[in-house]
Formats: sequence, C-alpha cells, structure tokens
Amino acid sequence: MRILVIEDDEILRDGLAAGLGLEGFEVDSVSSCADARAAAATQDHAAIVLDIGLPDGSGLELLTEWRRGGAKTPILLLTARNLIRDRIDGLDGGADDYLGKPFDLGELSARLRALLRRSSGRAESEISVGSLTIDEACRTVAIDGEEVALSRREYAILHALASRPGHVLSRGQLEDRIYGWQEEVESNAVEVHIHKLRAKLGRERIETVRGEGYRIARQ
Amino acid sequence: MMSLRLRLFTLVAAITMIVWAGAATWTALSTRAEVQRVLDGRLIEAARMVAALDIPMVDEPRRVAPTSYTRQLSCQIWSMDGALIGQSAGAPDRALAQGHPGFSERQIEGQQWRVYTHVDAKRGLRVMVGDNVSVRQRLVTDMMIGLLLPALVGLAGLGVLLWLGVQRGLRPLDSLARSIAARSPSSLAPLDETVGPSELRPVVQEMNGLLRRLEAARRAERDFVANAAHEMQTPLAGLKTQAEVARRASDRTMREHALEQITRSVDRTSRMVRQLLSLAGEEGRARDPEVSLTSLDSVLAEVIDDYRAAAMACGTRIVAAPSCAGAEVPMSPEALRQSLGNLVENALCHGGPGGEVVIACETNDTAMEILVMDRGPGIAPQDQERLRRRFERGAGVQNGGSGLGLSIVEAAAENCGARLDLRERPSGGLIAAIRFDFRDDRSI
Repeated sequence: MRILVIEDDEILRDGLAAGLGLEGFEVDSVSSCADARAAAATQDHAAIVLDIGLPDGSGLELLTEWRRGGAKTPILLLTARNLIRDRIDGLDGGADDYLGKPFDLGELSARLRALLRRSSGRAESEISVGSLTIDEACRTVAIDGEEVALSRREYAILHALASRPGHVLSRGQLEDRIYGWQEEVESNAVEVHIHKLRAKLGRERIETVRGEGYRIARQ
Repeated sequence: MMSLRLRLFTLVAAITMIVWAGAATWTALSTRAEVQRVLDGRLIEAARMVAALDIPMVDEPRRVAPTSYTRQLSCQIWSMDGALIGQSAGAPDRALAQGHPGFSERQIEGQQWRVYTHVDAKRGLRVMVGDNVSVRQRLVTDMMIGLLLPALVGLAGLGVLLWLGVQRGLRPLDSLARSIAARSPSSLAPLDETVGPSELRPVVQEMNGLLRRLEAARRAERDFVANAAHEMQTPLAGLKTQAEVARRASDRTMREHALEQITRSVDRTSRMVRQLLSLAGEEGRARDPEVSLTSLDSVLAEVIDDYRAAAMACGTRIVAAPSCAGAEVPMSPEALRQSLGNLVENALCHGGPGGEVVIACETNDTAMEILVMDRGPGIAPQDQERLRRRFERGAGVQNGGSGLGLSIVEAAAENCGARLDLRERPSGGLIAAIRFDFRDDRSI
C-alpha cells in the first residue's frame, strides 16, 4: 500500500518513512505544499498523511484544494496544535481522520489501515477469500487457520489482490503499490513475487489474465 | 498606616479642639477683663455715692445694716486724722487701704481686697469701698462655667457628628474597595470609571490602565506558552517516531540511522529550548535607559569563533569588514552577541553554500547600523512581517530552525532603543541590519 507523507520537519518525515515502512507501507514523502501537489498529480496513493503547518502554506488549504478537485483519497491530518477547533476545521475540510503530535507509530498505522479498509468498502480488519485469511493488524496470512510466512513485498501484493477479489491488477499497478520512488525495480520483480506466492499458497489462488495482469480467484 | 477614617477624624477633631480652645481662652480673658472693669466701676460709683451722703461727724462708728447687695462690698469712712467714722456690716475692722486715692489691693485677715479710695479734702473724709477678691473670682468663674459648659457639651456632640460625617464621606472608598473585593481573583476586567467621586476617578483610571497592561502581558504570556508548547510537539513526535523505528528495526543500518536522527533531534530541540529561554529573557527585561557601550570587535571575534564550525560545514566564510574596527555599540555585550549570532546563523542557513557572510558597520549622520549580509535569496517583501513573528520559518529551510531568531534580535534591539531592518542587498542577497538612530533631541 503506497501512501504519501507530507511533513516539513525533516526528522519526523524520515521517521515516518522508516516507521510506516516497517508497518508494511510504501512511503513517498515530501516537505512542502508544492512538492505534495506534484507528487499527488503523478502518482495514485492509497492514503495521504498530511501535516497542517507547512512552510509554503497550510495543509488545510491543500486538503480543501484536493477535495474540491474531486480527490477521494483518504487523508489523515497531523498537527501540533491539538485544539478541538482545529480538529473540527480539519474534519469539516474533508479530512478522514486526525492525529495530534506526538503520536504513537502503531496508532498511526492502525488508523491508516482503518482508513484504507473503509475506503475499499470493508469494515473488519480480516480479509477472507475462500480458505485464505489475511489479518491486517498482525499482517499475517493463513490458509485454513495455518499461518504462512510471507515477505513484506509478497504480503503487499497478496493484500492488494485480495482487497478486491476478482478485480484484475496490472503489473504496473502492482509495482506502484509495492515500490516507493527511490527504489529501483527489476523488470520481472512482480513475476518473481507472484511465483513465490503461488509456491506458498498454491498455484490456483492467483490467476494470470493474459495481457492484463493478475487477480485472486473468488471461489 | 492608620486608617484613613481615623486619620481624617483625628485631624478634624484636633483642629476643632485647637480653634475651640483658642476661642474659649479668648472668651475667658475678655469676660474676666469686662467683669473687672464693671466691678471696678461699681467700686468708684459706690465710693462717690457714699461720699456724697451727708455724714455727721460722730464719735462712735456707726454700723449700717447689711443688705444682700452689699454683702460683696465693704465700705469704710475715715476722717483725715485716721478715725473711723462709719463702716458697712461685714467690713473688716482694719482700714481697707493705705489712704491714697484710687485703686489698691490689700491682704486683710487672710482675705484679698480690691479697694477704691475716694478722698474728700473739703469735708476731711476718706471713703474706701472694697470688693472681696475671692468673691469676685467666684463670680468670674461662675460666668465662665456658664459660658463654656454648654460649649463643652456641644464639643462632644460635634465629635460624634464629625465621626459620622467622616464615615459617610468615605463611603465611596468603601464601595470601591467592596467592588474590587467582589471580583473573582482571575478577573482583569476594568472597573467602572463613570461612577464614584471625581477624586477617585484618576485612581480608578490608573488602576484600569494597570489592569489593561496586566491583561495584555498575561495574554502575551499565555500565547507564548501555548505556541511554545505546540512548537515542541513536532520535534517530540519526530523523537518518538524515530525511537520506535530504532526499537523495531530489524537491521543494523536502519537502527543506526534512527539513533543518529534521535541525537540530531535532541540537539535541535535543546537549541530551540535555549532560543525560547533567551527570547523570554529579552522580552521579560525592561528597556534599559542607560545602555553601556560595547566594543564590536571583541564580540564579533566571539561570534565568528562560535560559528566557525557551522560555516566550515557549508563552505561559507564569515568576514568582518574593516569598518567594524573600533566601533562601539550601545548594547550590552550579551545582547549584541546573541543578536549577531542569530543573524549570522540565519545568513549561514539561507546564504547557500560556498558564499561569504559579511559583517559591517556603517555610520552616517542619522544612524549607525551593524549589517549582516549574505548572498541568499533574500526575503520577499510580503514575507517580511511574517518572518519577524515567532515560530515563523523561511520557506525552504530543511534543517529545522526554531523560527525564533529574528524575534530574539528584534526584542534585544528594542530593549536598547534600536530596531531590526531587513532589506535587499543591492548586489544580491539579504542585509539584516541592527539600526541605532541618533536622536538630536536628547530629551526624548
């Protein structure tokens, strides 16, 4: 799941990128409104973490601008001014959630997962496709209750496919979801991860749609 | 301090007493003099009246029956050769006077007599009429008591009325005190200036002025604390996040990186706390009326030394222009060092790598300026005001300044009557100047 972090404090931004990375997110991070506009224009993000106080403007302005432009991406606001008035303004301005600094990294990622779940139309934190279950909170995958160990990338691909069973995702879309900007992507990386997933979960779970991409079998 | 009520009462009572005592003394003295004059007149008249009578020359002295009127007065009639011709009842047997005409006083049988002697040389008679002085004294005393006793009683009544009057006169003070006491301890709302007597109005106005200043100071302090607390949240969030990353990181490089970020963040946060303290110090200090002169050279040397490492890190040189030599600045050494330090730091931060930060001192007819010049992008006119505010950082600053530097310089400059001027450098870059205006009018 690729998310965009907009935070001007260098150390916090670096910490968020590393910390959310550990929680299984792919993080793109920028430090100003201008960079955020550019990043949002060139890349689809599953969610956005937005700081209110930015050097070249307010995060709230950015928020209303995006919402007016029709963007539906879930947005979580971060702010140092943890006042009720600010929270109301933020939420009424189109934010989906709100977190005051300093926050707990675990709470931030749980809230992000909740936002992503809701945006894909689900309410519970467990995804089940047939005998396959994915626990988002623990980031574990099990078949018939039997846990299967997956790497970070394998989990990200399986999670992306299982979030919308029967829906086809192209190789490019999968790459976007699992790699950040800075990472070099091998041309056959997605194929390699799919191959390993099939080896662990069984061939028939992930179907190849010729010329289009991959999907998870509904059954 | 004595209560105002008691003080006022004592004062008014003392003045009343003094005036009353003066008036009483005057009355007593003039009454006594008048009584003496009247009684003396009566003696003369009585003596003449007796002398005018046809008194037969008798061998035996005759006694005239006493009357109630003459009880005070005694009369003796003597012949020229010293024989007593007649006397009134109750008169002493000895002669009342020596025999000279006119007034005299004499002690007879323990009694003091005031006597008038009338000499009738033709008939060879001496008529002496005398007043018993103690009787006279009693008369005077009785008259005085009759006059002064009612006044003394009146004085006591006056005292009571004065006390009540003072009480009533000071009632506005009581009501002011009550209205102040009735306020909640945290209330700094002004008092009503329209009610109350005109004498209290200046006091109420002064107090309202004080309350307004206090309220403004309290609001500034509250805002400052709130802002400072909010500003600390972001570095704290950074610290917490990096700490969690360090705890969870599976590989060594990631952990090392997070720990390094924690160290940097602690350095930055502690610098911010230092800046906050120096700003609070500058703003809390009263403006110094007598500013001593500080040698720019020595402070400059310290500042350049302080920022040598930082300058080397970004490949910039800090240069003191020759104009600084020997300059004297009307600012305390600490304030000057802090101000220059902040401006140099800003210049290093915004000036871009490889440049030069120049410190110069320019003096003309109207002002002296200490200039810190860089080759950075400068400050857009619309950002000028914003960047002087606390916690406002310039765009594009990545290394997390506190946003307090210019506020500190401004506060320090204002404390010694100077101001901070930010302007474009003609050859490109920014000039930050601490400007000391010369005042022709020293009376300001």
